[in-house]
Formats: sequence, C-alpha cells, structure tokens
Amino acid sequence: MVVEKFLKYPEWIGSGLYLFLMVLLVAIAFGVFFGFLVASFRHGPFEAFYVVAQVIGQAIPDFIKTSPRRIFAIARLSIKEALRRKVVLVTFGIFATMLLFGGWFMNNGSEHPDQIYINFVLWGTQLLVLLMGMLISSFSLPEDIKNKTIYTIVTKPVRSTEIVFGRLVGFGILGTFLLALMGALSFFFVWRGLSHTHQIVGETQTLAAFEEIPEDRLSRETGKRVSENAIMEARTDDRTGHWHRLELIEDVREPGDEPAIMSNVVETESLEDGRTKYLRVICIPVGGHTHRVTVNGEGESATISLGPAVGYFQSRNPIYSTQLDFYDRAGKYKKQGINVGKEWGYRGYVDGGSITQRNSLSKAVFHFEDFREENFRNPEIMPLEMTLGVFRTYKGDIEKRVIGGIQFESVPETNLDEKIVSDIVDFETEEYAVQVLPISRKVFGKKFSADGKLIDAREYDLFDDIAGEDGKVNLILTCREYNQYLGVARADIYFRGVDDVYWWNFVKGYTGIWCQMMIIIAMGVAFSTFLSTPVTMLGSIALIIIGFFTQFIRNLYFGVVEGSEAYGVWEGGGPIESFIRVITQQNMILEFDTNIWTTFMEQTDKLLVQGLAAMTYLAPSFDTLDFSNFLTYGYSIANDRIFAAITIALTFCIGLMILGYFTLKTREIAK
Amino acid sequence: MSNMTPFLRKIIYLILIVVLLVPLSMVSRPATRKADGEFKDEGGILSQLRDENNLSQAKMSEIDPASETMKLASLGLRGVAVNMLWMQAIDHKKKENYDKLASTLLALTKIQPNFVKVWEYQAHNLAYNVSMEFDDYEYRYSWVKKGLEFLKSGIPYNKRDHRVPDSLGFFVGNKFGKSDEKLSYRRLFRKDNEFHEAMSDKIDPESYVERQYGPDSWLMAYQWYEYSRRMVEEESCPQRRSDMLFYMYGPAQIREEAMSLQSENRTGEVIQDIWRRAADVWVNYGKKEITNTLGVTYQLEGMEKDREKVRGLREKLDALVRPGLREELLDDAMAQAGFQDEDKLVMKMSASEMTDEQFLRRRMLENALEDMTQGIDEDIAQEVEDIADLVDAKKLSAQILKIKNQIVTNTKDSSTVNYSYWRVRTEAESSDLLVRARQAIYDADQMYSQSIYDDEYDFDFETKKRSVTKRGAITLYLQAFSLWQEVFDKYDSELQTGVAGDQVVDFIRKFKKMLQLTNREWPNQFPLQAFIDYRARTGKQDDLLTSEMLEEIRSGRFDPDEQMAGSDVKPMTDEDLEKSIQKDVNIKMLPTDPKSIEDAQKQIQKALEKGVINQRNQEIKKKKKD
Repeated sequence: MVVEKFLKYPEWIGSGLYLFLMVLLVAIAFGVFFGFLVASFRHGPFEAFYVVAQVIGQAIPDFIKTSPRRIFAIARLSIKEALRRKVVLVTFGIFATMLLFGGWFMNNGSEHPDQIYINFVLWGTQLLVLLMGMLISSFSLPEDIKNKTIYTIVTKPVRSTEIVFGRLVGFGILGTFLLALMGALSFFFVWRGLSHTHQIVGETQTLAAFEEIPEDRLSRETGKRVSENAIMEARTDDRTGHWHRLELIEDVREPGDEPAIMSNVVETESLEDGRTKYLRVICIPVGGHTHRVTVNGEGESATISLGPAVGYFQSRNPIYSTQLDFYDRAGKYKKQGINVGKEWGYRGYVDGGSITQRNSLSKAVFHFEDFREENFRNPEIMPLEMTLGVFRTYKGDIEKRVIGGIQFESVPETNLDEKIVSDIVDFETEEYAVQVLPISRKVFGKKFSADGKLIDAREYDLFDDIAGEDGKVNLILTCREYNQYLGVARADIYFRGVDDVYWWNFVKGYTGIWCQMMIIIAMGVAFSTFLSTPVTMLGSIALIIIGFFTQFIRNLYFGVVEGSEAYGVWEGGGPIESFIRVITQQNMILEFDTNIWTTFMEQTDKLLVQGLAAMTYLAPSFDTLDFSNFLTYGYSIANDRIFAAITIALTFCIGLMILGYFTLKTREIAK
Repeated sequence: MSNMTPFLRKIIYLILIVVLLVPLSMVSRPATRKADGEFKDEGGILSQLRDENNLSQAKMSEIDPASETMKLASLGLRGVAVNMLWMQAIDHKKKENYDKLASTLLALTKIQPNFVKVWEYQAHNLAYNVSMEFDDYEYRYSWVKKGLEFLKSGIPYNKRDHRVPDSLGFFVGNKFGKSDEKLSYRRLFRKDNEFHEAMSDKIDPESYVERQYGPDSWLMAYQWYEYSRRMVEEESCPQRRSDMLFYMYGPAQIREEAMSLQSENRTGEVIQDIWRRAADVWVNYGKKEITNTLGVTYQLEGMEKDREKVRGLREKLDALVRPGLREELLDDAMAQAGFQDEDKLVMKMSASEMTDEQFLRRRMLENALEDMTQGIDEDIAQEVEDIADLVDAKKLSAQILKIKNQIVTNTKDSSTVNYSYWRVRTEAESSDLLVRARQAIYDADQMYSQSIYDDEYDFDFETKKRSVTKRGAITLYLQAFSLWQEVFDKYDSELQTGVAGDQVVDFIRKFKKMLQLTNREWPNQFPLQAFIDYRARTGKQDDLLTSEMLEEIRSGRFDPDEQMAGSDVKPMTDEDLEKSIQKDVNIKMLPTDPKSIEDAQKQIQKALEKGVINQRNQEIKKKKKD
C-alpha cells in the first residue's frame, strides 16, 4: 500500500497550526470587512460601524448562553423533518440495492477479492452518505424560509446559534445512525461474500484423493513448482471463482521440535536417527487467503476437511521506519534512490553492482526508532513484511527471482562508539505481494570499533545488543544480483507489530467517512443560511471537488503559476487554455502565437489557478479523511490519523457554524 | 391559476409518459426465439437496427444485466463515465495497482461492451504490458492468462466480430510460443487444467492436444483462428481482413507448433507428421481462391503454373517472328541500359561459374533489364513476318502481359506471407532427410550443452587400439552438417537464406566457437562451405569465413583480425567487456563464503586478463598496420 505521509498527531497539529491561525485571521478580517460593506449599503458607512459592532457584541452572549436542551430540541425537529423528506430512506434503499446486486460487478477472478469487496462497500457508502448529507442539509433552512415555517421557531426564545447547531446535531445524529447501519450491513456483506469452504475433488475426502508429485516437481494441476518437501497433491472444488491446491508435506523434525499445529498431521513416524517424520496436509493460499486443514483419524483412512477462509480480515499494525536513506554504488548518500525510468517515481532503486564493480555499496537504509520487544506478539521471531519492486536490466535466469539481502546495524550515539553489523540474510524477492520474512532476534554479526577494526564476531540479540535502550536500529537493504535493481519506498518495509482487532479498524475506517459527512452537513447548513438550495448544493459540490483534488490543484498552482518543475511539467496551461485546446483540438505542447490574446488568456489562467489554490485552504482535504486504502489493503489505521481527522472535522464544523450564525443573524428573518 | 392546475399538469405529464412508453417499448423490444432457434419475434425496429450495426445486445438471451445496469446507472453520461474509467485504468497501471486495473477494465467493458478495440487493447495491456512487470515467471504467466480470459469474455458481446477470436489466436500463439519465457510458459500451459477448463466453453480442450506432447499452445491458437474462420464462413459474419491474411494465420500455427516442438524435443515421427500437416494446410491455403484489395482473384499456388504459361506463350509468339528476334531485342535493351561486354558475359554465366562480385552484379543487371524489357512482347508482336499472324501475335502478347501482371501482383502478395519459402520449408521438413538432419543437429547440440566437445575413447592396452565410446559435439556437428548440405542440395535456395538457414548459421557459429576453445583449425573440407559462400553472395552478414577468405588465410594474404579492424565492427568498450565477461564467468549472485569469493575473484581476474589481453593484441595489430 502506498503511504506517503507519516506525521504523528502532535507533529501534524504543530505544522498546521500556524497555517490555521493565518487562515482564521484572514477569515475574520474578511468577514468583518464584508459585514461592514453590506451594512454600509443598508445603513450608510457611519451606521454600519455600529451595526457590525453590535452583531459582534451580541454574538458573545449568544454563544455563551447557548442551551444544549434547545439544541437537542431543534435537532429532534430536524431529524423528523429529514425523515419526512424520505431522503434517508431512499439513500438506504439505493445502498441495499447496491449490496443485493453488487456481486454482478465484482471481479470474481481477482487475486484479492477482499480488496474488491471492501473497496466497493466503502465507495458506495461514502458516495451515498455524502450525497445524503448534502441534500438534507441544503434543503432544510431554505425550505423553512420559503414555507415560512421558520417563523414558528424564530419567534420562540431560540438563539441563532441554537438554530444552526441544532440542525448540525440533528442531521449529524441521523447520518451517524445511517452510517452505522450501512457499516454493519457492509461488514456482513463482505463477510458473507468472502466466507466459504471447499471440499477435496475425488471420491473420498481422504489421502486417496491425492496424487503423487511428478518427477519434474511441477504440479499436475497448474504446472507450477510445488513446495520443496511436498510428496503428494490434490485439488479442492471451485467456490467463489477459485480453488486451492492441497499438498501432503513430509516434515522431518528434531526431537522436541513438534509442529505448532498438529491438527493437519495425517501420519507420524519415528525415524531411526531419532527424528520424527510428520506427514501434514497444507492448503496453498490463493487470492490472499487459505483454509485451516483438519484431519480426523490417522493414515490413509483419515478424513481431511477444510475450515473457513483465513487471511481476509487483517488489520496489520506496521512499525514503519522513521527515515529512509539511499546510498549509491560508491557509498555516497543520495536523497533518492536510482530512477529506473518508471513514470511513477514512488520507489527509489538500489543496484546490485556489476561484474567490474562487484563491491557495490548501493543500499537503502531504513532507520527504526522504536524497535522494542513489547511491540511484538512473539519477539523471538518477528515478521518483517516487504512489498518490493524489481527491475531487471537483463533477463538473467527467467525462472529465478532476483535475490535481495537485508542486515541490521546498531546506531552508535557518537562517532567514538562501537558499531554492530549483522551478517547479510539473503532472500528471494516477491514482487507486488506482501512478502513476509521471519526475523530471529538472534543474529550473527560483527562488532567494529569506531576506527573500523573488527572487535568481535558472534551471535547478537537484536533488541538488547543492536537496538539497545533507545530502540534505534538500522535495516539495510541491498540487491544481491549484478545488474539488477530493487525498488523501495519508506512504507515498503516494516515490522508487523501486534495486529489490531479487525472490526475496530473497520469502525476507524468509517470514522473517516463520518468526518467527511459532518463537514458536508456543516457546509450545507452554513451555506443555506444565506443561499438558496441549488446554490448551496452547488457551493457544497464545488468545495467537495476542491477537497478531493487539493493536492492536484496545489500542484497545478506550482506548475502553472510558479513554473516549478518539481510538481511535474504542466503542459497545456490552465483552465481557459486547456478549454481552448480541447475545443480547437490542439496539441498540448504546441505553443500559441504570441499576441495580446494569448497574454490575456495566460494571465487570466494564472489568476484563476491562484484563486483555486487559495480555495484549497478553505476546503477540507478529503484525502486526509479517507481511510479506505487502509481497510482495502488490511492495514491498521493509526490513532494519530483518526485524531487528525476528527480535529479537521471539528474545526470545519465550528468554523462553518460560526459563519452560519453570523449570516443567519444578519438576515431579516432572524430578527 | 387555480390550485388544481399543477396537479392536472402532473397528470397530463404522467399520461404522456405512459403513452410515449408504449411506442418506445414497441420499437425497442428485443428479439425472441423459439426453442428450435426460429424467430418468434424479430424485435422492434430499434432492436433490429442495433443488431444490424452491432451496437448492443438485441436478443433477450444476450442481455447482460450487469452491463445494462451500468449503462443505465451512468444516466446518459456514458461517455463521461468511460473517460473517467479509462483515466482510472491508466492511473492504476501507472501506480502498479494491477488488481484494481483488472477490476476497472471489467467495469469499463460493461459500459462499452461492443467496442472491439477496447477488448483488444486492454487484453493486450494485461497479457503483454502488465504481465512483464512481474519478476516471477509464474505470475507473468497468470497475467497473460488474465489477458486472454478477459478477451474471451468479450466474445458474447461481439458475436459477429471475428477480430476477438483472431486476437485470441494471436495472443495465445505469440505470447506462449514466442516470448522470452516460451519454454516455461509452454510447460505451464501443458499442465494448466484450470486454463483449459476456463476456455472449454468455446474450444474443446481435446482439439489442441498433440499426442504424447499434450495440450499445445500453437494448436490452441489454431483452434481460435478456426473459430474465427467458422464465424465468417458458416455464420456469415463480416470479414474484416483481406483474404490473404485472414486465411493465412490458421495454417501458420501448425508449422509454428512443429517448430516449437522441434526446438524442445528430438524430432521424431510425430513432429515429422506435424510438418506434413503443416505442409498440407499451407498448400490448401495456397490453393484457396483469394481476392486481393484490387479485386483480383487468384491462387498463391498458381504462380508457377503462370510462369510456365508465359514460357509457353512466348515460345508460340517467337515462332511467329524471325528467329533470334527476342535475343536481339534483349541485346538492344542491354546496350541501352549501358551493359558492358563483361556484363553481357555475366548474364550468360551459370551460378557455379560466378565469383561473389559477379553474382551480385548479375542480380543488379537482371533487375535493370526487367525494367527495360517491360514491353518486349508487344514489340515482338509488331514484327510478325506474315501479316495474317498479326492478330494472333497481338492476342498472345496481350495474354502474356495479363499473366505477367498477375504474376507481379501474386509475387508481391506472396512475399507478404512468404508463401514459397514456407511451402519449400514445410515440404522439406516433412522429408526423412531433413528429419535425420534435425535429429543429428539435436544430438550434437545436446553434447554441446554438456560441454562434451571431443569424442570419448576406450583404450585397449593390449591391442593398443582405441574405440569411440561417445561421439563429441564436434564430430556430431560435422555429421549433421553433411546431412544439412544434402538438404540444401536437394531443396530450393530459399531454404538457405530463410529462417532455417539462419538456424544452421547459429549451429555453425557454435561449431566455430568449439574449434577455438579446443585450439583447432577450420576443417579443410567443411560440409557447409558452399552454404556459407552462397549466403555471403546473397548479402547475408554471418561473420563466417567464406572459401575466398579461407584461401587467402591459408596463403597468408589475409588476417581476420585486420579484416575486423577495417570493418564496421567497433572495438570493445568497457561496457561490452563487462557484458562479455559476465557472460563467460556466469556468476549470478554475490558469493558470501570466503572460498567462493576467492574462486570467483580468480575467475574474474582470468576473464579480465583475457579481455584485456585481447584488447591489447588488437591495439598492437592496429599500430603495426598504421
């Protein structure tokens, strides 16, 4: 999974606080100025000063004396009103239909059906909930004003703050309830869609259904390589578009080293040399899941059965490094890895040297800062997960994967301290898959003095000797094959800590959608205090689009206005230029003639893009609130991210409510 | 306005909607059939138009609910939805999110299911572009299959378009049989029951099983082309390719199958039989009446007959005029073209009498003469001795011209599909002689791959005689080359300059390398020397020593290194040196233990010295020359 931002909550809030305060100040200044301008038209400039001061003065008691009881009363009314409009019911109906017929659009032959299912429900929920939030909030106040039912409220002792907050709370409660219901149904839908088991193809569910592995060690079923110690194989029936291979494995173990799972053992035999041979049945994973094999009885008559799917509902808790550094062939530090010419520059590459430069020092160094025993379920053997990219400059051996190497090194506090470097562990890379490498806490390595002299070579403890008390350790990745390259980004290598509970992670994922919904409701309520329904909806949609494309717009700004190539080359210009090119079917790189119209167009474009970029600071960045990728790829959502999302949602809700209060307050109607 | 007005208006709208729905439903109702396949109802006019223009599914049984729902859900913004999905697909591919790419493509084809190019393009994307991104060949194979399965799922939506099965045939054949991973892919293919099952609804898995070799990818490709042919011939689907290409691909797959099996196994009866089949289907293709883009109908097989006809007609024409007139006109044409006396001599020489230069000169002269004598038959017809024969002579010349034009057209088309080469090749490959030659070269190659170059002997100390226990690669290659020379003697020269000839050149190069490694001289009576000379004369740059060069070397007048220095061959750069050393040393991984490090270093040092010394020698020679 691509993870580009790694900020902790305190870091995030620290970095954004200054910007927030600036935006707040500008918004207040602009609000006061705009209020003054409007009041000047109505009452003249001198009177306007007093009007503005009065409105601001009244706001303080209004906010202080806002009654939660009255807020909830209005919230109750808002819920009733929204229910009467049946938008919620229609939304739920569409969602239910989507779930009923969703299976038609799913790619059953997918390698990862879990990802497709989760992506589908999250996308559907997000779309419908946001749409519903926008509709119920945009219609509410303008309709009340149009039908004059608003007078039944404003004539009561109710403050404007309570009217806007009440609506936000009411719609919020309704949306939360609907979201919870959709979440529960989605969870059930995904679980039901993926839950399955298999039967072995054959006359019996015993070893009789198994066939010998051919001499060439290639499966009879798929032609692919079988496991190293497999002696027989069978296949299961086809369910939900896939089937599994089963292998009978010959597992010879030393005395006292029993397999952790004995339920899949068909036969046990004591060998003459004191070792024990276990014949076990394993189910080969397909599409990110496998099945637990249970054997009842022993020997050839033993019944073999497969349990439910295992491996779909994961919530990995990755322990990422805090920094990733690259070094080139000469061992010189580089900010980024080698660019192998891929369009997507997410991964940097390390090279494996060449025959004339065998001792390539090219490497990627991951700096871990909180590497401690307590982070792991079993600190004796820790899972290191990797999603590496491989780039070959020549074919090499087609049937062999490229070899990578990892090693650990301690991080000395000063230049005078000793350093421990572990031996290189080689592994076969597996591209585009989460590859798990078990790392033992005991590693062989060498200790060097500060001047590079070898002091000692023995077994070291990863936690006690290498990471030490401060928990700092470096992981070094190298490519071990000449002229081949390995690509990594910071999120591509991590230790897998104790997994989160899946359903809790699911709730966290939906919290992101909830935050988005609350912001949209707040937008709808605030805008509807001074705009008509269609304009409110248009405004909300505009801000949602800006919110979803924040990064794109900012890149566009830097590319078009600032002319910075760091944000990509922006051929084709800004909105007007692009529009002209589209309708006149002109190539993007063909330059326009230099004349006054071109200059006018370019300058207007710059102005528009600047305006758009400025808008991105007012609209919430919905990317930050979107956690669907975490759920789709089975990663735990860090609490820091949830806190950040809630902070964004609250800030926007409060800001928009204040805007809503002032605009409602200044309308004739609320007086 | 009364309070009833809006209500009434709504009622009127409703009635209008219902009224309009009736004719709409009538014109767009899908066709239905009885159990025996006959039309129960041909459907509305809109439905019929859709069917005629292949715009969408017009029969009830063909309607895919998922596709129709997607189209409906786009609320008339199908174009926008398609654009967005295409952009999404491009982005997923860019960000290496291939599973999502596959899902996006599924949605995309649900929205535009009748656009064949989308299926072809995206299937190619999956089978070629995405598959090669994976490092593991088994994953690569899986993605090739995904591309093929994706393309196959486009057939039900495009039942009257043979381009989908055509592309399937091409992808199956080309990807499994010609890629770098062909050996691995074909091995996986043979055992991949899952894939055979997935394809079984369109193609019977038994139909592409090649006896003991099992399922064959080329045969499956052949079956896809057959599927396409049946669509056109039996179901009257429109043919979207010229006859020549449309009917060529199927037969070509059989010979490809034979070639692949030949490279994987020792040629035997079964492979010989496949070659025979390849020859049969190729000749059948040649006998098929095909119409070219100019509307001319002809047979590729009929070219030789046409040439024969021209010769016969010319004899008749020449009989009507004074003897020797044709030769005179030819001499005049040669004179006009500026032919010298020696050129005329070259034109009269036989191939065996010519030197390399003369051979090339002859070709050039023939081409020039061909242009100059375009109207020679008309000129001859003008010169009839008896005026009564003039009409006959004109008729004859007109006939000659017509057939000649036909031959020119046929030759152009025939060269597009390389008809005559493959005709000779398939015929030759089915002969016992070439089977023996293939077997011999296979045996020699086996020895070469095991690095057994020399013969192995048993020495009897009593009789002091030695008996050969195992023939080494050098002896076996020489035996094989003798057989190949027999093949080249027997068959047309085209075989020597075509793909088969190229393969033999590769074997000769291996043979040459072995001689160098074992410090031996090039044999005095090399069986394929005539073949090498012939190819050199035809302009092939095989980098092998011709008879002339050998003679000069033996007489001390020629230095191959000098020849190299003077040629376009560039001196070895550091990069080339690195590559060549790597190839020689063949080290795949950095060794970790000290012993292997030491060994590897020695090996590298040796290789480096070899490379450096070679370079130094070249430099010294160059200096000497200067």
